[in-house]
Amino acid sequence: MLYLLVVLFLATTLPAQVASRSAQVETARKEKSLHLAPDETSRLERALLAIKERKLVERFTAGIAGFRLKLGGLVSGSGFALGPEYLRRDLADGGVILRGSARASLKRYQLFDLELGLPKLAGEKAFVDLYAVHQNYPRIDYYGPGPDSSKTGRSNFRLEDTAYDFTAGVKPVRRLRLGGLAGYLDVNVGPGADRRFVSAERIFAPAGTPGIDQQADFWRGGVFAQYDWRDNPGGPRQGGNYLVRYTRYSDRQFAQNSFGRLDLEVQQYFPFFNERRVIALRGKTALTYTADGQRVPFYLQPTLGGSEDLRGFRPFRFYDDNLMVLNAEYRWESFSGLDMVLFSDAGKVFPRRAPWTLKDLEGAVGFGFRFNIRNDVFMRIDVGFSHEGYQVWVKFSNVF
Amino acid sequence: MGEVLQRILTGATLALLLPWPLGAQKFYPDDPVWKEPKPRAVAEVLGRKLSDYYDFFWHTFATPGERHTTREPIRARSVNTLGEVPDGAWYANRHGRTRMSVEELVRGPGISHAPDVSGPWKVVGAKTEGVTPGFTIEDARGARYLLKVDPAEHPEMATAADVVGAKFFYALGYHVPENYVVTFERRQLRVDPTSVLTDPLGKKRKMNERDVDEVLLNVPRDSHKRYRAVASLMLKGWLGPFRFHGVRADDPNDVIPHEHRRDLRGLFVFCAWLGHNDIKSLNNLDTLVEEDGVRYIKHHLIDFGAALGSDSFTAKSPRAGNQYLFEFRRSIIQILTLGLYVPRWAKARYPHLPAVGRFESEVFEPERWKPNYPNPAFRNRLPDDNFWAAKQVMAFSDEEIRALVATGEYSDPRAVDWITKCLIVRRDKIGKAYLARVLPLDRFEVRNNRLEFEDLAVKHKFVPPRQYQVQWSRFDNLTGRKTPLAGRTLLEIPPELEPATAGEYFCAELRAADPHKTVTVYLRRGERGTQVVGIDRTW
Repeated sequence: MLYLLVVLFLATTLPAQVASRSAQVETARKEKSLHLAPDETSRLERALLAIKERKLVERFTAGIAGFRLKLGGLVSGSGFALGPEYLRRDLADGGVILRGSARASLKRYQLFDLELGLPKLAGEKAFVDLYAVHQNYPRIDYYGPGPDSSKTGRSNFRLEDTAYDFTAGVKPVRRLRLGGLAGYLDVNVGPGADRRFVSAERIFAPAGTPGIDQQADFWRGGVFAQYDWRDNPGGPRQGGNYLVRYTRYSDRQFAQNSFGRLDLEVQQYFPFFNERRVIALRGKTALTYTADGQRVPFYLQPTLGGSEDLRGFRPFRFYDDNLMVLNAEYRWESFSGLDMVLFSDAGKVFPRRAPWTLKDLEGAVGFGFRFNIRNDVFMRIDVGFSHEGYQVWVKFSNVF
Repeated sequence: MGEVLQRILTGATLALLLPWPLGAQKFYPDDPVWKEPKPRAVAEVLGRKLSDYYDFFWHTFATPGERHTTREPIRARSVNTLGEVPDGAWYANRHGRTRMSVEELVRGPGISHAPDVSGPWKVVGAKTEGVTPGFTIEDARGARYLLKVDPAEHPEMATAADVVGAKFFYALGYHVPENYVVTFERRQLRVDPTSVLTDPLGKKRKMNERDVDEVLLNVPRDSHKRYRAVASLMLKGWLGPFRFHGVRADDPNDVIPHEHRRDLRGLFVFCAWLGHNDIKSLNNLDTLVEEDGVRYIKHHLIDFGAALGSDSFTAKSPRAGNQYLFEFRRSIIQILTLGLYVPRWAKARYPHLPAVGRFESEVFEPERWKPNYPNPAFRNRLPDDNFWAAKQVMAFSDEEIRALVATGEYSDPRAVDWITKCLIVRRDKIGKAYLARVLPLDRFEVRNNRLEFEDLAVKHKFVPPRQYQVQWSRFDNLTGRKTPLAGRTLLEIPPELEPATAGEYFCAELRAADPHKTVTVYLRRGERGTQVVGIDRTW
């Protein structure tokens, strides 16, 4: 009886015998066909797919009916900022760009701007841009004039200005832009809102800090030329970018703050090891020119320090009539979405053009992370060190 | 008496029953199977899309699919008893089994369905998947194609890669679409009034001629102001991509987890050879087809625009094929060494040939090659999977490779020369690497009363001619027991096979210098002689 039970058990529980390989395959298929179900994806995958298919990220960044949320974009030190932006790139089949925004930061910095661009005139050989902006920055740092200003002399002031600029230019050949600018600038400086530090007008006099007592309105106009042969401006690995710009500021109120400003900038990228390593160099200078009896107001002076130039120093650490900055970065790829950086910054401000030398430069060194998507840097973290301490910068744009 | 009879019957029943359900039988009468049994009809099946983000993150940070255990590796399952993949919905033996002529290789999946240029092409949609811009067009005959173009800086690169890649993968046995290089003028394209475009913000709207101009704005043109594109004949019966692990729950014929399919494991070697680092689920496609009155799911590889030196929208990154998009350990090494540790691939040298992109052979190491992110089937590869693929790669002669590369219709002969040279060197590296991991004996047959075979390592001159140790055994197909035949240590068929009855099995175990690398060949006596029915390999 036991034997019989064993036989019955085996006959009923073990798989049916097959006589051929084909039958074996068929048996497996038949077995599966009894349990078929829709081939569904997981909830998470469906969600990720929906995000892509419905272009939710694009819609979020592009907005609805042209309206979207704009993050950042204010001056260094303003803190986290956001606000609505209206952007239309689709007007006249892409021939017209209309943009306007209103942004404010946690530190109550404000920026309102409006731009109308015609980037594809004359078969994309010419461009025109109209730009109006109002800025209200309540606590811009000021440490006093010149390269010898003291870190402990930190004060702050409110900078409020309104500018209207018209830019037009041509692109005679690929990569070359030539153009001119004309505009109007209305500036107001007031007491700083940062109560931790003294307001600038209380400790700095007009003799050393021209314009601190009264501010002028300016006509400004100039010309520029740019030759840009970087392989990818969003995250260059080779090529160069050269810019020369001259702007003339005419004081239309007091006739004592007119000046000319020459900006020169050279960026050069030297790749090696198949562009997995890059030496990136930048040199830039701003030189101002004044006639007798004229002075450059401090709020229009070149400044040094911050996330864009001398990264081991606080923003706006140095003010003066002239500026020189040298940056060198060694960039290496950690993985496809991250480049690492070691950098060295040097620069100085100086009152006259005579010391346009490499002497007496302030220095900073540091390291950084460049996060990128398809080689476009979308975020960087830089940590800079100098004799004045260290600074950590989190920015959503590349430095150069 | 009754009790005795009962015991006898029970014993007899057990004797008959036990060997079968316990699965001890190694060979069936129809082994080796070279063609999968006719598929079961698919009743209801729905297409579904996969998320490329999910695919990337899941495969990068998780380990989907079944992996080898520490005790025992999992051998590939989609094979016949010779270790070959039978023809079927996934795969069809082509050049690797029976040499194709150069004309057949060049013809690939087909050459008779190129877009009809006698009339305008209706633009019926814009290509929104992937990174390469393009259109869906319909020619005068009503055939639909996906039209993809080259990046501005690299004329001919991506379009050639797509065509050449399809030809190679077809010859290697995969189901692929027909891809054609086409040149056309702007006036060839006419936007169909009913075509709808999903704009960058996800809104659907009617497509217009301006949209076509926008896509063509940065497309390189030849000296006659003509555009070049690859026209990929649309596969009918779209069901969405297949994964490299698991099975389709709605396909009764899909019974082997994909990570255990030899045709998908071995695909690694083919992708390494051809630089197809963008191999991923989204570059696969299942379609519902009907053959001989049966509807079933057929599995295809599609989109080879990132093969060779191309990365579709730009030249390949030097990292491609050498490192995953994200690798924690290597990233940390790079960070900690301040980039002073320079991987070998970063020193690769590339030609200044825009149509080539970045493709090379000096730095290429087949065993270290990697797709963009981990692939469960690739990671389950065993030496016999690699061997299966490597021997197919080695089947391509220099002339055949050149002929296939030329199907990319490069205008610069230096591009053909360079890619051909690279593929030849890469082929030989693959052969040298993977044929050495097993005893690479192949194409066994009984001829002139002797067991004949090819030693692929010798054939391709990776090793000099060598001696083999042989041990013949009688093989019990039901129990798997081998009984050595004393003194039978030559390749000559032992005399014990002569009186054997049909259905009896014998085997010969061969080894060369390395005792761990063996090949056991199984022979079956049949009515019409002795047949090789199975091969086992150890390493």
